[in-house]
Amino acid sequence: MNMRRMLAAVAIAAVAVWTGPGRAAPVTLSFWYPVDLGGGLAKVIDGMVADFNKTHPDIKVAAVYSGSYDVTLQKIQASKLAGTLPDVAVTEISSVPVLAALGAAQPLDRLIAATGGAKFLGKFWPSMLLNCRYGGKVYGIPFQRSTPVMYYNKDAFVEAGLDPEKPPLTWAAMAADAQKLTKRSGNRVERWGVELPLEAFNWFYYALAYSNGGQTLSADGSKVLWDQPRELGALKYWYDLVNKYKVTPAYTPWNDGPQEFVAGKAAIIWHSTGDQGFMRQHVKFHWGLGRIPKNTQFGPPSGGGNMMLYATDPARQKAAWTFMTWMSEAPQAARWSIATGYLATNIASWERPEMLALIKEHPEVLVTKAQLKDAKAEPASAKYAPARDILNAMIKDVLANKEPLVAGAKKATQEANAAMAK
Amino acid sequence: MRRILRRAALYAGVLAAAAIVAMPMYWLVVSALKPGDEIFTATPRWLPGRLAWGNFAAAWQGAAFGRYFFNSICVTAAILLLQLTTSSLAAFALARRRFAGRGFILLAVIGALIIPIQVTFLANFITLQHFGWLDSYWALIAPFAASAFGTFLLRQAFLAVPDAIEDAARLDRCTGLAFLWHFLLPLSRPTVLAFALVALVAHWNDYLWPLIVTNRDEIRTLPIGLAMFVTQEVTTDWNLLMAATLFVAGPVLIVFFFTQRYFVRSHLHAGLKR
Amino acid sequence: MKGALGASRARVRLAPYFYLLPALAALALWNYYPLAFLINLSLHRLDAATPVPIWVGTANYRDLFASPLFWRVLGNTAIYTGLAVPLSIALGLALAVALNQRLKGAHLLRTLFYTPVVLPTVAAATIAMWIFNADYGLVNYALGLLGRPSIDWLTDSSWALWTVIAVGVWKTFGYFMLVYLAALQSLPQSVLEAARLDGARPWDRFWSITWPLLRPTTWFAVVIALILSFQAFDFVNIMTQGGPSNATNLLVFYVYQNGFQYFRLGFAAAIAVVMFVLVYALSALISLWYSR
Repeated sequence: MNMRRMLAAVAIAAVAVWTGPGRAAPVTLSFWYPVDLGGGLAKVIDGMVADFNKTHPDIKVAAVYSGSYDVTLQKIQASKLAGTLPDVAVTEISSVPVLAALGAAQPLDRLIAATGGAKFLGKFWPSMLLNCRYGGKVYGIPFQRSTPVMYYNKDAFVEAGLDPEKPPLTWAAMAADAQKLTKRSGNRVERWGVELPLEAFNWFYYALAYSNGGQTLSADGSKVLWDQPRELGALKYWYDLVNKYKVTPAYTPWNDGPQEFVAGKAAIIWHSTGDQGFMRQHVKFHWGLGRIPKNTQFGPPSGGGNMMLYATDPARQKAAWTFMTWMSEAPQAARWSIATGYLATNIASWERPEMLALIKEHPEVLVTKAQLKDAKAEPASAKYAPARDILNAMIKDVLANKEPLVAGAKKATQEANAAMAK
Repeated sequence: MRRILRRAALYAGVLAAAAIVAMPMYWLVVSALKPGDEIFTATPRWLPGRLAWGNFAAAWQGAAFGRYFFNSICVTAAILLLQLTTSSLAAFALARRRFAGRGFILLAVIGALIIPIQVTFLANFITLQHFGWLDSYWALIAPFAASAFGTFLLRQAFLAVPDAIEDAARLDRCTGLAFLWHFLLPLSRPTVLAFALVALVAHWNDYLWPLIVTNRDEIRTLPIGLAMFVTQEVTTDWNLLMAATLFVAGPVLIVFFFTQRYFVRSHLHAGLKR
Repeated sequence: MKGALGASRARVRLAPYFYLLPALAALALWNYYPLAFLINLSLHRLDAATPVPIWVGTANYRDLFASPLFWRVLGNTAIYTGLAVPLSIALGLALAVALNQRLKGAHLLRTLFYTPVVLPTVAAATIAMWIFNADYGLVNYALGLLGRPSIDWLTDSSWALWTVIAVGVWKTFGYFMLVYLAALQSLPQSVLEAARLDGARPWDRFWSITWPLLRPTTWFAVVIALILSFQAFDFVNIMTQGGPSNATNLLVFYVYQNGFQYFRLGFAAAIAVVMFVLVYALSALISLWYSR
């Protein structure tokens, strides 16, 4: 018995030596992911990758946590200069043009064509593919995607005499509801009617501009349009919420929004769909989800992260592509969405039993699904990042009355266009 | 009488400073013990309604903390040992020897202190790649083999040792490295300790560098586990983050608590007499 | 005989260089080579649209000096350094002197004052953000109890820099307390004892004897504090991202922002070089002033 085992071991070793490492060893791929969602979710990724490795014996994916979106970008940048890029990585969607222009990310069109072409891309929500292209080529596959959504406190609605099942759908309705929902004692605001937290990406500025029919960035990505009438109208509405109706603070930091909603200090907040898990866990009153209200049209901006390919060797590219497509298949997309609160990217995954079970328990999820057909691209170009920060500073200055609205927008537009032309 | 008043004023001042410093610490500990639904309340809650010890278990399981702990200890110990060796040797030469180019070298050491990691890391990343050291313990240790700060700090301490002691030692044929080991280092114990503690903290807590140069849990360090609790797009689980902070910062605090008695005079005298 | 003596003399003469070798070799490789790398990079254009470096001479520097934001950032950095350096050193020194007395519970207090230094910055910044939160932070809660209106500590551009400075001082003064404690312990006891026997009052004794003896330590502390203040990155990155409206954008954050958020590596390298020259010149000035 022992003898036989030993012989078998020797035989296996001999075969391994004879065939050499190239054929026997599986292709090992590195996959960098920034799970911007707290510790537990790294486990979800690890679990999915383990399942992939189990079902694909010729490929071995090593999943590597790579820090926040920012640090991941830094890591990729350094690796590009040192020539040690990963094979696949997830980054924030606005980095697609940057990493493509840098020559780090690789175009996927050939691989897509070999996997069914348009039919393959047709599996995803069309709005999610908007932030995946650069220079006419596809670089990104949607992975952990989100849009903004409106969280509202149903108990506060009842208290203010509003119908808790009818969140405002238009700008006018939101301003009116927010006035009823704002609670003051003396000079102190006990509860804000609405909060639009501002982060580095200026998501809610885009949300307002899009719902007013604006663009914010020219189609070729070379000029910002913040001084155009529709964009100015969006900023004016935000300005009025702060300074005319006084229903929202001039500035709410991004991370504060959900906390203030949970503490009952804001009756409505706009935030990421990715926050649903947090709300389910922490909110102690009745709450619901509403669409981001429209003025002339619905149009929430896209957000979150895409998967991109960095491998250049054809054999590695093929293996990496197998992994990327597997991760975006319906069962995996559903699994990731249920675990995180990110939107399931694959249309078919919304019909899967586990997804239907989630919807049954949390019917408000359907609001996030309904928004998907209206969702628009997040502004991005290879040189947009400085413009993003100029816009951020301008919004804060205008809302805090440190800068007049029209003049401030004009000045910021010129500055941004100059910075992007460099 | 005046002495008592002075004493009282001293206590009052120190305690006031202590209160300001302690407040955030208190908040950290309390938050780590709060259940999730007590973190965000309209008015600050000074005590948890119930103690959520489970936070620690949940935080511990959030990342490979056991492995990270081991790595942090190895990496930090290696860095400390290397830095103490290279710094005390260099400081010895700079403080107690005359040689051509001393002033220039001292300026070069101070200059090295000025260059922050945000500035060096691209070049160092590429250097590590040339050496084939990326994604290994070397990547975490080698770039910190020398410390401009330590060299500078120890030089200051070595300068303060009177020449008479060196002359006396020479009579005992205790020169060169023996003098460094038997006299300079023991005499400068508070400074050596101060430096070791500062270096310990810096490398124990560093997360950006390990995150960028490593790609495997097997060699990653504690703060990476901590970074996993900090989020950008959605809201952080603060109680878990604070619980994780406690077990990252805890060991260093314990080390400090037990070593700081060496800052008290009596021990120094013991060192002198030997 | 003579040859052996000569060899041993040469060994004595060369010994300092051997002692210096390991430290200098490492510093040259890990600190000075990157500086040379940066100087070279700063003379090139390398960004998202130019993935292969192009020689541009001093264009990055000209762009930098022509940028109003650079001067704003420089001003912020000057304010930060001008306040954080003296405050953290004064606080560190005062507490070191106080704790050097034989106070009851001094060891607990020493640990307490050192805790902020030990805390991982991520956690320290997170707590600071809570405490200075406009709506439910402890500071505004305390102001409310005193009947004062709330202040938007981190979100109002006229307050944010002061808040970041306060948090920076809170996090670093423990270093200086430790350095001063170490120095106080090595002061010649005989001199202090003699002054005590002369009946000099503690306050006078401090200024006429202790303070001059601490001079080398103070010089050291000032240089270190200066350098630390120019490297204040983490708090800015986590708490304010340089905002609101660049009110807390400091030089090192400006380097990071251009290099790693905008991918303008050549330009970022130019900022880094300017920063290095600036800190080096300031340190040299302080050293000159001290060695007068």
